[in-house]
Amino acid sequence: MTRITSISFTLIVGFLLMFNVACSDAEDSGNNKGTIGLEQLLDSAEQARQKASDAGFEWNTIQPLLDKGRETMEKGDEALAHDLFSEAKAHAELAIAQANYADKHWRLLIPNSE
Amino acid sequence: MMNKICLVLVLLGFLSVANSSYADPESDLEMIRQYYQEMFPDVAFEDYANGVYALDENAREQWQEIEEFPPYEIAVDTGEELFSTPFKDGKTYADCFPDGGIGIKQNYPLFDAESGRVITLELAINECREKHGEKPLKYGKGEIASISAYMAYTSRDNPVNVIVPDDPRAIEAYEKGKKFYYSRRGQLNMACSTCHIANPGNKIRADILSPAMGQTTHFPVFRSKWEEMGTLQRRYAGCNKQVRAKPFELQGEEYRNLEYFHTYMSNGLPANGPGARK
Repeated sequence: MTRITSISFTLIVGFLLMFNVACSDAEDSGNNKGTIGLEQLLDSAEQARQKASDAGFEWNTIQPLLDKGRETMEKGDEALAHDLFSEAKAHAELAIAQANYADKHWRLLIPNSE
Repeated sequence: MMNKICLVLVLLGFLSVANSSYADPESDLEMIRQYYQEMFPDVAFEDYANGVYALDENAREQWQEIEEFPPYEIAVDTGEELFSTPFKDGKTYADCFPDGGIGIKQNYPLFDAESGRVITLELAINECREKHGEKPLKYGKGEIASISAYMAYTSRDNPVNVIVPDDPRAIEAYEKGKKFYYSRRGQLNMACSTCHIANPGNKIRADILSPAMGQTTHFPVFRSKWEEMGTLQRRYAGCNKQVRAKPFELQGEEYRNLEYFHTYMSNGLPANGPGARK
């Protein structure tokens, strides 16, 4: 009886330990995935900013958003950092679109242009 | 035979498209003068040199009162002193410029065929310093604005005479400046022309917008907002920031080309720098 109880106890403890490890693995994996996703987002936002800059149409809103996002990421607020990087990327993509439009259509703003 | 006719027609079509999208500087100048004349038939051509004060009587009266004790006067005196002070090698700024640097502001920016670049007065001042072993001055304000103010003062009433020579590099620089002027940029999606071609005389917040023609004649200026002197390119950077675009480096290629086109639009107007502005 004692032997059965001891085996049961061992199994229960083992199960709990396995469950705990599985949970913490999942948690770690989630965290890594989040950080990696954020870094990828930051990279793509930075690349878009560079492209807007190369075209000569960078907005002055982009770099402050990236800076604030980095600061927020370091403090551990990944959700807010994600929003800031996403906004920076959106601004950069709009600046690129603006550059492309200007390249094709800038003469339309000249008076009497057709 | 039919193929040749088709080829000629295609070429003629291409040329007409190319021609419709490009205007030479002289045609641009003629167009812009006519455009403003139609927009403000009561404003005399020479009065455009006074910028926004050509358009609004109340603002003009306030400006004239400011001009009774001009806030740029100290800068002119400082500039004269700096201009005359010899460099370490004994030379002065006068050795770098035609006519000893007196009465020449109206010719800037100019296209330098040797270097293939647009040279503004402030760039020429710093290149003179470097040629004579001195460190270049910081652009935008301070000593460079004072020297420029003095040189502008000696050039008063000379008609602005920016030349775009028949050199493809000069025409390219002019076209780049023109493209900059007419391109929307920044989060507010505004071009220089949005305010100063399409809307002069209208208000932006509490300020009346000035016409593009005549904007460059009175620089450098003492601007009340700055509480000091500043150059034209400092103002460009400010305008870019106001539309939430990242400004360019002062005296970089972008702003030099812009200044080239922008000043060419004021050809024929009297140089009247330095000026006082809000």
